[in-house]
This record gives sequence, C-alpha cells and structure tokens, in this order.
Amino acid sequence: MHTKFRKNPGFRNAPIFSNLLHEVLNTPVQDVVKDQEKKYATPAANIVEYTDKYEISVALPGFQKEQIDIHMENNQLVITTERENGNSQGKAIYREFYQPNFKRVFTLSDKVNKENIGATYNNGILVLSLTKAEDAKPKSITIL
Amino acid sequence: MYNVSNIFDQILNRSISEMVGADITLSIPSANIVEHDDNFQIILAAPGLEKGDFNISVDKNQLIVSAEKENPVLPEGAAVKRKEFNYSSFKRNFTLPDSVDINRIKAEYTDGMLSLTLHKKEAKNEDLKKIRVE
Repeated sequence: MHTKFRKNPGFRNAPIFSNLLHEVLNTPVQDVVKDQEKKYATPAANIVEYTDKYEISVALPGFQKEQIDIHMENNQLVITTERENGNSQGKAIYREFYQPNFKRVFTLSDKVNKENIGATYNNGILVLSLTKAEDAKPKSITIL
Repeated sequence: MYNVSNIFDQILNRSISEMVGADITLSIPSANIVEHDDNFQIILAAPGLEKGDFNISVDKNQLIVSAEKENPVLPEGAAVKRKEFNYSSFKRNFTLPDSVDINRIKAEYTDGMLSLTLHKKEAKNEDLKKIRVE
C-alpha cells in the first residue's frame, strides 16, 4: 500500500525554507561547480564568549565521538567527521536532510591559548572550550 | 607555496557561510521519513536536548513532537558571538496515514537524533473481500 505523510499545511514553509537556504549557503562552491569525490557539509555552530574562554558548539547530530576528528593546522582549528555511508534500509518517503560528513575550520586569533583546547561530545553537540590567552583576559587594576 | 590554482582551491573549497557567516538560526529540526515493511521511521535531527525535553503525543491522526527547554542564562560578562542553531523550542506535526497503529509508537533519542518507530497495523483478514466467480 502506498501511503504518504503530510505535514500540517500551516507549518509547512518555514522549516523547509530556512533549511534549504542553510543547505545552499553551506554547500562548498566547488561542489556546485565540479563534482568532488569527498563532500563535506558545513555544520551550524554557536560561539559564546566568556570572560576567561570561548565556547564553540558545533551541531553534529548522529555521530559517535570516535568519528569526529579535531586538530590544529597552524592557527586553524579543523573539525572533520569520518563515517561510512551505511546502506540505508527501507524506502525514503520524505527527506529534509542528508547525513553527510562535516567539516568546519575556525581561524583562531592570538587571544586564544592554542595549547589548551577542550572538547566534549554530548547529545549531538560538540563543545570546544578555548581558554583565553593571559593577556586577553580582562584585568582589574587595584589602586595602591 | 601558493600558486594560482591553490588560491582558487582555497576559495572554492569553502562555503559562502564560512566567509560571510550564516544569518539564519536553525530552530526547527529537519525530519526524514523512511518506510519499512512493518513500520515507518521518522528521524528528527535535534541536537542539544535531553530525553526528557521532548513531548510526543498523538491526537487523532496527528503526531505532535515538541520540545520546550529554557536556554541557560549566561553569566555576567558572557556574550553570544554567533548563533547558527537553537533547537531548544520547537513543534512539528505529522499527519499519520491510516496504516499506522497509534498504540505502538516508540521513540528513542541518541546522539542528537530522535527516532520514532511507528508500527503498521497488522492486515486483518476481514478486510479482505473475496469475490466468488459465478
């Protein structure tokens, strides 16, 4: 029997539009111009600055932490994921997202202590904790 | 060493949003639906929540998945520098086909993916109408 899911019509446009726009904006230009063997999508990220550190949260749902690689290249923090495209069973009847591999590069400024970067992966979010370099922390001066 | 093709590679290998930043904050999780022989599977990519943040209910033939979570209050001196996603509060409806047994819907949340398994009703023999050749 052929059955189709329909979404509530009033709810329809918003998510698809913003997701589509996100997908278009996050597809590397080269993927559009020339088909490449390895394709990476750009994951969404949030950055919060605290007084003593920066916290970068990267949305990487559906991974195991072993599949996420984080390394420094000069002053760039490079995050890539490696997973096989499993043979998906069943028949896709509705699709809003693909599960590709992701890559994102953050260029770090001198304000960040590059020797001390912490990472945790929980509930599909990779949280990178970058402590500020000593001279980038706010200082208070006491009057003598 | 930089040569022209290197520079082009560098520019072309990046997405537009890496250079200019994304202006949209993703707030409604994307969904995929897969049909198997005896069930449907709805997968929602909703990272950053806890199992208990989800509210999943069925109202007639409407499956409603929502989450309501308060964003943590930032300490003094902290500031959001970039916000590209925030799935802490959303609601999605799915209209279910008649073949779904609404009493047998299972939900699991792992690594930011909410997976709903909707079993299909077992085909009843009474529904089969036999037509005799006369």
